[in-house]
Amino acid sequence: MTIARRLAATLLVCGVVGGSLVERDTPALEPYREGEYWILAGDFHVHSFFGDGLLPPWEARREARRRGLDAIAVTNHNHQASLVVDRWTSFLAGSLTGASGADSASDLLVLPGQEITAGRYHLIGVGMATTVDWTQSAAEAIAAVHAQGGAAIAAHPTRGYWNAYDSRALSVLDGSEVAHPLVDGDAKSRGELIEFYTRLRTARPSAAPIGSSDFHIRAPMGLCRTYVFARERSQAGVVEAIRSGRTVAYDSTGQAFGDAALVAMADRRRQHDAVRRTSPSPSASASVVAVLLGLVGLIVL
Amino acid sequence: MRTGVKAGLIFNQNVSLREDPIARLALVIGVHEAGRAEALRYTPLMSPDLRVMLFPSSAYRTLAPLAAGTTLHAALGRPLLVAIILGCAMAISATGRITIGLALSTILCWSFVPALQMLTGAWMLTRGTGDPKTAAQMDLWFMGHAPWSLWILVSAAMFTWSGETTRLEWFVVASALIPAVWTGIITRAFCRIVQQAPMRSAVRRAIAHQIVTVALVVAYLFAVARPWARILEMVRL
Repeated sequence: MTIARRLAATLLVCGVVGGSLVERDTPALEPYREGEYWILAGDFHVHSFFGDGLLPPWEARREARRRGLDAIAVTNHNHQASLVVDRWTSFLAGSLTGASGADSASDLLVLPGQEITAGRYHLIGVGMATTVDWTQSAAEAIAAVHAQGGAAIAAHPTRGYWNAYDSRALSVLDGSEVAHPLVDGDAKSRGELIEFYTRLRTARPSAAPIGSSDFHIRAPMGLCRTYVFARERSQAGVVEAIRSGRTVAYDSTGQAFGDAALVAMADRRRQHDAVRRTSPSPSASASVVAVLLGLVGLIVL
Repeated sequence: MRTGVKAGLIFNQNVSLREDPIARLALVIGVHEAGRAEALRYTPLMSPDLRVMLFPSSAYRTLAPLAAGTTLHAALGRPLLVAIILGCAMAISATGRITIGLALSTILCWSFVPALQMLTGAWMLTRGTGDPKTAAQMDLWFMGHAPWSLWILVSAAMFTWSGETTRLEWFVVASALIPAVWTGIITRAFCRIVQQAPMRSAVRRAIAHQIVTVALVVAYLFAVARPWARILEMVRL
């Protein structure tokens, strides 16, 4: 190995080790409660490896924690393979560390889900045990999600998807993504999400506003997020809050969607969160630079 | 052949300019003799991978005899580097961070990609009649991965520093055409020089390899993203 390649390899190792040391300083997260509600930050549209996301499910958990989230839903397209892996890795991690899963105060709630990807609609099912057939109508798919005790959310409902949500579907739909990275910088699509949400609220006044990152490759998890006002800190509590419409959605600019009283409470939670570091520090960025340069060095030198 | 303009380490190896697109490009854009000679003075600083990327035919001609003694153990080094590159790039793209645990997780998950590349490489090797043994050929084969490796790292850097809401995905997907075409050129040179195939046969094998690679990518996407419904959306059946 030449001296140049040794230097590149050293840079790579230093970057990875340095990045690990920096991450150890990330503050632990505590659940936030106000009055009768746990105010939980959630991202209910996350894709993971074994689907078309980059991160394996166990790393998606860690990333959610880094981003200050209390709950995520893993929603791959029309399958739930990653959830099986997640259950096993959680079980193994729990066995090795002695942690008792969801009972742990700082543990993340991972809701099983599916992005029901049909020809005319995309629907997020949250809190379901088995997959839902995508060939049926939106109303039938929503009923199938409800039959499993889950909540059904319209995924990025831009104009092209509107025809699938007839009056029957709108009357039972639990929520709609009103904040989504897809519409960042796109006023037309942004207006369509808001218009659909307004229509949904007319048909079903308790429909929940939802903010999601649709995390696949890079839009940071939790960039758009939903605060749910849950009576209990559990999967059932989160699903009940969504189905009752007790949510506030925030888009990437910080604009809130939801009832004014709930928005005020969510704002207090966000102020509480502001002390937490959710984006990479300069040290973490420096470690990334070192790793990239080290790898380029190993290719070209 | 224009012997008058062929000079330096690369061009003195009796390589037809038709076989080296980069060298041909240098002639087309009128790079002067002195400039090329100056550039070639730094060739020892280039890794074999970079030389294969820039001058596929001449680099393979130089490197093939030297690789004859490559052991299987040594030949696994490059696939391992590809796995590390892919894993680190995935971790950085998705999180903007890198840690030991995160890197190991993503390397583990995405190591199926170099494993599949080894399989397609093995398929290519069964088609060849070149002198070097299989381990050496596999090592030479993976030297051609540099365009994809650099594209992956540049994409990761763009995702990390382009701002949280900038939409880059389609640009990155479209830019994959560059390493795809470049790898086709390298594959042709590999078949031509290392496997000593006639030019026409080398071109056929390179095209077949690219088709197999694209088929594998499409198969993966169908397995994980279940795009049937989206295809229906597009054709509006």
